[in-house]
Amino acid sequence: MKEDYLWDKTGVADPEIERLENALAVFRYQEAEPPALPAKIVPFERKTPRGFFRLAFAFAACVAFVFVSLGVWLQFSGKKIEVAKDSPETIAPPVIEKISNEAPIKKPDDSIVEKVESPKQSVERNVVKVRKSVPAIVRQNKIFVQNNEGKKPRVKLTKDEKYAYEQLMIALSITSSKFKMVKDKVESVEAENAVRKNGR
Amino acid sequence: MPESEMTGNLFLLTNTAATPAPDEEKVKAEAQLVERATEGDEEAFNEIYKIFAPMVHGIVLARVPRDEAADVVQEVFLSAYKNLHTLRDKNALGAWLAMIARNRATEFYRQAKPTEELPEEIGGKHDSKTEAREILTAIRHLPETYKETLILRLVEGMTGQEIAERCGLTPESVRVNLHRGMKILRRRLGIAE
Repeated sequence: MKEDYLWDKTGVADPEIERLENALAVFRYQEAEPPALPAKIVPFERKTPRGFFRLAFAFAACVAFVFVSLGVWLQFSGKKIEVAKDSPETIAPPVIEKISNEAPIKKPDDSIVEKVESPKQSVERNVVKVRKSVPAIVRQNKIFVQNNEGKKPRVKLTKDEKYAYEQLMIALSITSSKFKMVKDKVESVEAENAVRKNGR
Repeated sequence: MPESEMTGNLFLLTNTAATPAPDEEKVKAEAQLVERATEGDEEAFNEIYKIFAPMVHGIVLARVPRDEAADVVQEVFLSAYKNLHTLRDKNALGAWLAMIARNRATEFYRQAKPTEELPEEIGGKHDSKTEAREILTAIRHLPETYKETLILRLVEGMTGQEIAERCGLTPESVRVNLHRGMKILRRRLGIAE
Protein backbone atom coordinates (compact mmCIF):
# COMPACT_ATOMS: atom_id res chain seq x y z
CA MET A 1 0.00 0.00 0.00
CA LYS A 2 1.29 3.44 -0.93
CA GLU A 3 -0.03 5.03 2.21
CA ASP A 4 1.79 2.57 4.40
CA TYR A 5 5.04 3.59 2.83
CA LEU A 6 4.30 7.21 3.65
CA TRP A 7 3.46 6.24 7.23
CA ASP A 8 6.26 3.86 8.19
CA LYS A 9 8.27 3.14 5.01
CA THR A 10 6.86 -0.37 4.72
CA GLY A 11 5.08 -1.98 1.81
CA VAL A 12 5.50 -0.96 -1.81
CA ALA A 13 7.52 2.20 -2.08
CA ASP A 14 5.95 5.17 -3.82
CA PRO A 15 8.51 6.32 -6.41
CA GLU A 16 7.45 9.95 -6.11
CA ILE A 17 7.81 9.94 -2.33
CA GLU A 18 11.19 8.23 -2.69
CA ARG A 19 12.28 10.90 -5.15
CA LEU A 20 11.22 13.65 -2.72
CA GLU A 21 13.00 11.87 0.12
CA ASN A 22 16.21 11.57 -1.85
CA ALA A 23 16.09 15.15 -3.03
CA LEU A 24 15.39 16.55 0.43
CA ALA A 25 18.00 14.38 2.15
CA VAL A 26 20.56 17.16 1.60
CA PHE A 27 18.76 19.23 4.22
CA ARG A 28 18.65 16.42 6.74
CA TYR A 29 19.97 17.12 10.23
CA GLN A 30 23.72 16.54 10.39
CA GLU A 31 24.63 15.06 13.71
CA ALA A 32 26.44 17.71 15.70
CA GLU A 33 27.88 18.10 19.13
CA PRO A 34 25.41 19.18 21.77
CA PRO A 35 25.68 22.84 22.72
CA ALA A 36 28.20 23.84 25.37
CA LEU A 37 26.13 24.06 28.48
CA PRO A 38 26.48 26.75 31.12
CA ALA A 39 28.60 25.71 34.09
CA LYS A 40 25.85 25.53 36.63
CA ILE A 41 22.20 24.72 36.57
CA VAL A 42 20.05 26.30 39.22
CA PRO A 43 17.45 23.81 40.36
CA PHE A 44 14.02 25.31 40.72
CA GLU A 45 13.13 23.65 43.99
CA ARG A 46 15.79 24.15 46.58
CA LYS A 47 15.99 21.57 49.30
CA THR A 48 15.47 23.84 52.28
CA PRO A 49 14.65 27.40 51.35
CA ARG A 50 13.91 28.11 55.00
CA GLY A 51 17.42 27.18 56.12
CA PHE A 52 18.75 30.43 54.78
CA PHE A 53 16.09 32.43 56.55
CA ARG A 54 16.75 30.62 59.81
CA LEU A 55 20.39 31.61 59.59
CA ALA A 56 19.45 35.16 58.69
CA PHE A 57 17.07 35.29 61.63
CA ALA A 58 19.69 34.00 64.02
CA PHE A 59 22.23 36.50 62.76
CA ALA A 60 19.82 39.41 62.93
CA ALA A 61 18.73 38.38 66.42
CA CYS A 62 22.36 38.28 67.58
CA VAL A 63 23.07 41.69 66.12
CA ALA A 64 19.94 43.13 67.69
CA PHE A 65 20.80 41.63 71.07
CA VAL A 66 24.30 43.11 70.94
CA PHE A 67 22.94 46.54 70.06
CA VAL A 68 20.25 46.47 72.70
CA SER A 69 22.64 45.37 75.43
CA LEU A 70 25.13 47.99 74.27
CA GLY A 71 22.39 50.60 74.45
CA VAL A 72 21.39 49.57 77.96
CA TRP A 73 24.98 49.57 79.09
CA LEU A 74 25.57 52.99 77.61
CA GLN A 75 22.50 54.37 79.29
CA PHE A 76 23.61 53.21 82.72
CA SER A 77 27.23 54.10 82.25
CA GLY A 78 26.12 57.53 81.01
CA LYS A 79 24.79 58.37 84.50
CA LYS A 80 28.06 57.43 86.05
CA ILE A 81 29.91 59.65 83.66
CA GLU A 82 27.64 62.52 84.62
CA VAL A 83 28.67 62.20 88.23
CA ALA A 84 32.31 62.24 87.26
CA LYS A 85 31.90 65.76 85.73
CA ASP A 86 35.58 66.25 85.01
CA SER A 87 34.88 67.36 81.51
CA PRO A 88 33.98 71.00 81.03
CA GLU A 89 30.87 70.02 79.09
CA THR A 90 29.47 67.85 81.82
CA ILE A 91 26.75 69.69 83.62
CA ALA A 92 25.39 68.34 86.81
CA PRO A 93 22.37 70.21 88.18
CA PRO A 94 24.46 73.36 88.68
CA VAL A 95 21.94 75.62 90.24
CA ILE A 96 21.04 73.26 92.99
CA GLU A 97 24.60 72.52 93.86
CA LYS A 98 25.68 76.10 93.69
CA ILE A 99 22.95 77.32 95.84
CA SER A 100 23.22 74.51 98.28
CA ASN A 101 26.95 75.08 98.55
CA GLU A 102 26.70 78.72 99.08
CA ALA A 103 23.79 78.84 101.38
CA PRO A 104 22.79 75.67 103.09
CA ILE A 105 19.23 75.65 104.22
CA LYS A 106 19.10 76.57 107.82
CA LYS A 107 16.63 75.24 110.26
CA PRO A 108 14.36 78.12 111.04
CA ASP A 109 14.54 79.52 114.50
CA ASP A 110 11.69 79.03 116.77
CA SER A 111 11.97 82.67 117.64
CA ILE A 112 10.82 83.78 114.26
CA VAL A 113 7.91 81.42 114.06
CA GLU A 114 4.62 83.21 114.30
CA LYS A 115 1.49 81.58 115.36
CA VAL A 116 -1.51 82.64 113.37
CA GLU A 117 -4.79 81.45 114.52
CA SER A 118 -7.95 81.86 112.62
CA PRO A 119 -10.97 82.06 114.84
CA LYS A 120 -13.00 79.42 113.00
CA GLN A 121 -10.30 76.83 112.75
CA SER A 122 -9.32 77.20 116.34
CA VAL A 123 -12.80 76.38 117.27
CA GLU A 124 -13.45 73.48 114.95
CA ARG A 125 -10.22 71.62 114.38
CA ASN A 126 -7.78 73.26 116.63
CA VAL A 127 -5.25 73.42 113.82
CA VAL A 128 -2.26 75.63 114.17
CA LYS A 129 -0.91 77.30 111.08
CA VAL A 130 2.70 78.08 111.30
CA ARG A 131 4.30 80.57 109.01
CA LYS A 132 8.00 80.32 108.98
CA SER A 133 10.01 83.31 108.19
CA VAL A 134 12.58 81.95 105.77
CA PRO A 135 15.41 83.95 104.24
CA ALA A 136 14.81 84.95 100.60
CA ILE A 137 17.66 82.92 99.16
CA VAL A 138 16.44 79.76 100.83
CA ARG A 139 12.96 80.43 99.44
CA GLN A 140 14.34 80.75 95.97
CA ASN A 141 16.20 77.53 96.44
CA LYS A 142 12.99 75.83 97.51
CA ILE A 143 11.13 77.12 94.50
CA PHE A 144 13.82 75.81 92.21
CA VAL A 145 13.73 72.40 93.79
CA GLN A 146 9.93 72.34 93.55
CA ASN A 147 10.04 73.26 89.87
CA ASN A 148 12.51 70.52 89.13
CA GLU A 149 10.70 67.86 91.11
CA GLY A 150 9.46 64.98 88.92
CA LYS A 151 11.83 65.91 86.11
CA LYS A 152 14.89 63.88 85.53
CA PRO A 153 18.10 65.81 85.72
CA ARG A 154 19.20 66.67 82.18
CA VAL A 155 22.03 64.50 81.00
CA LYS A 156 24.41 66.24 78.73
CA LEU A 157 26.69 63.88 76.87
CA THR A 158 30.14 64.48 75.54
CA LYS A 159 30.67 64.61 71.79
CA ASP A 160 31.90 61.03 71.68
CA GLU A 161 29.00 59.78 73.72
CA LYS A 162 26.54 61.69 71.59
CA TYR A 163 28.05 60.19 68.46
CA ALA A 164 27.91 56.70 69.96
CA TYR A 165 24.30 57.25 70.94
CA GLU A 166 23.35 58.38 67.44
CA GLN A 167 25.15 55.42 65.91
CA LEU A 168 23.32 53.10 68.23
CA MET A 169 19.97 54.59 67.28
CA ILE A 170 20.79 54.26 63.57
CA ALA A 171 21.92 50.66 64.05
CA LEU A 172 18.75 49.84 65.93
CA SER A 173 16.56 51.34 63.23
CA ILE A 174 18.47 49.46 60.52
CA THR A 175 18.18 46.22 62.46
CA SER A 176 14.47 46.64 62.92
CA SER A 177 13.97 47.40 59.23
CA LYS A 178 16.04 44.34 58.31
CA PHE A 179 13.92 42.28 60.65
CA LYS A 180 10.82 43.51 58.92
CA MET A 181 12.26 42.70 55.50
CA VAL A 182 13.21 39.18 56.54
CA LYS A 183 9.80 38.65 58.08
CA ASP A 184 8.06 39.85 54.91
CA LYS A 185 10.27 37.65 52.75
CA VAL A 186 9.58 34.55 54.84
CA GLU A 187 5.88 35.22 54.73
CA SER A 188 5.90 35.68 50.96
CA VAL A 189 7.94 32.51 50.40
CA GLU A 190 5.60 30.54 52.60
CA ALA A 191 2.59 31.92 50.76
CA GLU A 192 4.22 31.10 47.42
CA ASN A 193 4.95 27.54 48.56
CA ALA A 194 1.39 27.13 49.73
CA VAL A 195 0.08 28.35 46.38
CA ARG A 196 2.45 26.03 44.54
CA LYS A 197 1.37 23.08 46.66
CA ASN A 198 -2.26 23.87 46.03
CA GLY A 199 -1.53 24.21 42.31
CA ARG A 200 -0.05 20.74 42.21
CA MET B 1 -5.97 29.03 1.31
CA PRO B 2 -8.91 26.88 0.09
CA GLU B 3 -11.70 26.37 2.56
CA SER B 4 -11.21 22.62 2.67
CA GLU B 5 -7.60 23.11 3.74
CA MET B 6 -8.57 25.56 6.42
CA THR B 7 -11.18 23.32 7.96
CA GLY B 8 -8.77 20.41 7.82
CA ASN B 9 -6.17 22.48 9.54
CA LEU B 10 -8.55 23.43 12.30
CA PHE B 11 -9.58 19.83 12.77
CA LEU B 12 -5.98 18.76 13.09
CA LEU B 13 -5.08 21.54 15.48
CA THR B 14 -7.77 20.33 17.83
CA ASN B 15 -6.50 16.81 17.39
CA THR B 16 -3.01 17.73 18.49
CA ALA B 17 -4.34 18.65 21.90
CA ALA B 18 -5.42 15.06 22.49
CA THR B 19 -3.25 12.88 24.70
CA PRO B 20 -0.67 10.91 22.78
CA ALA B 21 -0.21 7.23 23.41
CA PRO B 22 3.47 6.44 22.97
CA ASP B 23 5.18 3.43 24.54
CA GLU B 24 5.11 3.63 28.33
CA GLU B 25 8.70 2.47 28.70
CA LYS B 26 9.98 5.12 26.36
CA VAL B 27 8.03 7.76 28.20
CA LYS B 28 9.44 6.59 31.52
CA ALA B 29 12.97 6.64 30.16
CA GLU B 30 12.46 10.16 28.85
CA ALA B 31 11.04 11.31 32.16
CA GLN B 32 14.07 9.88 33.93
CA LEU B 33 16.37 11.67 31.50
CA VAL B 34 14.55 14.92 32.20
CA GLU B 35 14.88 14.44 35.95
CA ARG B 36 18.58 13.71 35.67
CA ALA B 37 19.16 16.64 33.36
CA THR B 38 17.26 18.93 35.73
CA GLU B 39 19.61 17.89 38.49
CA GLY B 40 22.52 18.97 36.30
CA ASP B 41 23.49 15.67 34.67
CA GLU B 42 25.12 16.73 31.43
CA GLU B 43 25.13 13.22 29.97
CA ALA B 44 21.40 12.96 30.36
CA PHE B 45 20.98 16.23 28.57
CA ASN B 46 23.24 15.07 25.74
CA GLU B 47 21.07 12.00 25.45
CA ILE B 48 18.00 14.20 25.17
CA TYR B 49 19.79 16.20 22.51
CA LYS B 50 20.57 13.09 20.47
CA ILE B 51 16.98 11.88 20.63
CA PHE B 52 15.23 15.13 19.87
CA ALA B 53 17.69 17.11 17.71
CA PRO B 54 16.32 15.80 14.37
CA MET B 55 12.77 16.64 15.42
CA VAL B 56 13.75 20.14 16.52
CA HIS B 57 15.76 20.59 13.34
CA GLY B 58 12.75 19.61 11.23
CA ILE B 59 10.46 22.05 13.02
CA VAL B 60 13.01 24.85 12.72
CA LEU B 61 13.73 24.05 9.07
CA ALA B 62 10.04 24.41 8.30
CA ARG B 63 10.33 28.06 9.31
CA VAL B 64 13.82 29.55 9.12
CA PRO B 65 16.41 29.61 6.29
CA ARG B 66 18.27 26.30 6.12
CA ASP B 67 21.66 27.93 6.79
CA GLU B 68 20.39 29.27 10.08
CA ALA B 69 18.58 26.12 11.17
CA ALA B 70 21.57 24.53 12.91
CA ASP B 71 22.22 27.63 15.01
CA VAL B 72 18.59 27.92 15.99
CA VAL B 73 18.57 24.24 17.01
CA GLN B 74 21.47 24.92 19.36
CA GLU B 75 19.66 27.93 20.79
CA VAL B 76 16.55 25.82 21.33
CA PHE B 77 18.45 23.25 23.35
CA LEU B 78 20.29 25.88 25.37
CA SER B 79 17.02 27.54 26.18
CA ALA B 80 15.55 24.16 27.08
CA TYR B 81 18.46 23.40 29.38
CA LYS B 82 18.04 26.69 31.21
CA ASN B 83 14.29 26.23 31.61
CA LEU B 84 14.13 22.50 32.15
CA HIS B 85 13.03 23.02 35.75
CA THR B 86 9.87 24.74 34.50
CA LEU B 87 8.73 21.61 32.65
CA ARG B 88 5.92 20.32 34.84
CA ASP B 89 4.96 17.20 32.91
CA LYS B 90 8.22 15.31 32.50
CA ASN B 91 6.52 13.00 30.01
CA ALA B 92 5.77 15.84 27.61
CA LEU B 93 9.36 16.73 26.78
CA GLY B 94 8.93 16.34 23.02
CA ALA B 95 5.91 18.61 22.81
CA TRP B 96 7.66 21.13 25.04
CA LEU B 97 10.80 21.15 22.88
CA ALA B 98 8.66 21.49 19.76
CA MET B 99 6.97 24.51 21.29
CA ILE B 100 10.32 26.10 22.15
CA ALA B 101 11.51 25.43 18.60
CA ARG B 102 8.45 27.14 17.12
CA ASN B 103 8.86 30.12 19.44
CA ARG B 104 12.56 30.41 18.64
CA ALA B 105 11.83 30.33 14.92
CA THR B 106 9.31 33.14 15.35
CA GLU B 107 11.83 35.08 17.43
CA PHE B 108 14.44 34.57 14.72
CA TYR B 109 12.39 36.65 12.31
CA ARG B 110 11.80 39.31 14.93
CA GLN B 111 15.51 39.75 15.56
CA ALA B 112 16.91 39.09 12.10
CA LYS B 113 17.54 41.92 9.66
CA PRO B 114 15.27 41.72 6.62
CA THR B 115 17.04 39.81 3.86
CA GLU B 116 16.04 38.59 0.44
CA GLU B 117 16.97 35.23 -0.96
CA LEU B 118 18.78 35.20 -4.29
CA PRO B 119 16.71 33.99 -7.25
CA GLU B 120 17.40 30.48 -8.50
CA GLU B 121 18.58 31.68 -11.92
CA ILE B 122 21.74 33.23 -10.45
CA GLY B 123 23.16 29.79 -9.73
CA GLY B 124 23.00 28.97 -13.44
CA LYS B 125 22.43 25.25 -13.79
CA HIS B 126 19.34 23.49 -12.51
CA ASP B 127 20.88 20.75 -10.37
CA SER B 128 19.46 18.40 -7.75
CA LYS B 129 20.03 20.93 -4.98
CA THR B 130 17.95 23.48 -6.82
CA GLU B 131 15.18 20.93 -7.13
CA ALA B 132 15.49 20.19 -3.42
CA ARG B 133 15.21 23.89 -2.64
CA GLU B 134 12.09 24.14 -4.75
CA ILE B 135 10.48 21.19 -2.99
CA LEU B 136 11.40 22.59 0.41
CA THR B 137 9.92 25.96 -0.52
CA ALA B 138 6.73 24.23 -1.64
CA ILE B 139 6.52 22.36 1.66
CA ARG B 140 7.14 25.57 3.61
CA HIS B 141 4.15 27.14 1.94
CA LEU B 142 1.83 24.39 3.16
CA PRO B 143 -0.39 24.96 6.20
CA GLU B 144 1.43 24.90 9.55
CA THR B 145 0.52 21.38 10.71
CA TYR B 146 1.20 19.73 7.35
CA LYS B 147 4.55 21.31 6.68
CA GLU B 148 6.04 20.24 10.02
CA THR B 149 4.90 16.65 9.66
CA LEU B 150 6.01 16.40 6.02
CA ILE B 151 9.46 17.85 6.73
CA LEU B 152 9.95 15.43 9.60
CA ARG B 153 8.90 12.57 7.32
CA LEU B 154 10.61 13.55 4.05
CA VAL B 155 13.65 15.51 5.23
CA GLU B 156 14.45 13.95 8.58
CA GLY B 157 13.31 10.49 7.48
CA MET B 158 11.23 9.82 10.59
CA THR B 159 8.31 7.39 10.46
CA GLY B 160 4.79 8.47 11.35
CA GLN B 161 5.02 6.69 14.71
CA GLU B 162 8.28 8.42 15.55
CA ILE B 163 6.84 11.82 14.64
CA ALA B 164 3.88 11.18 16.93
CA GLU B 165 6.08 10.10 19.81
CA ARG B 166 8.60 12.91 19.52
CA CYS B 167 6.11 15.73 18.99
CA GLY B 168 3.56 14.50 21.48
CA LEU B 169 0.85 14.07 18.87
CA THR B 170 -1.57 11.22 18.35
CA PRO B 171 -0.59 8.75 15.62
CA GLU B 172 -3.99 9.34 13.99
CA SER B 173 -3.44 13.06 13.61
CA VAL B 174 0.05 12.50 12.22
CA ARG B 175 -1.34 10.02 9.70
CA VAL B 176 -3.97 12.52 8.60
CA ASN B 177 -1.43 15.34 8.42
CA LEU B 178 0.90 13.23 6.28
CA HIS B 179 -1.84 12.11 3.95
CA ARG B 180 -3.45 15.51 3.44
CA GLY B 181 -0.15 17.36 3.30
CA MET B 182 1.21 14.96 0.71
CA LYS B 183 -1.92 15.38 -1.36
CA ILE B 184 -1.56 19.18 -1.43
CA LEU B 185 2.19 18.95 -2.10
CA ARG B 186 1.68 16.63 -5.06
CA ARG B 187 -0.84 19.06 -6.49
CA ARG B 188 1.50 22.02 -6.03
CA LEU B 189 4.49 20.22 -7.50
CA GLY B 190 2.42 18.92 -10.38
CA ILE B 191 2.89 15.28 -9.45
CA ALA B 192 0.15 12.89 -10.50
CA GLU B 193 -1.56 11.10 -7.60
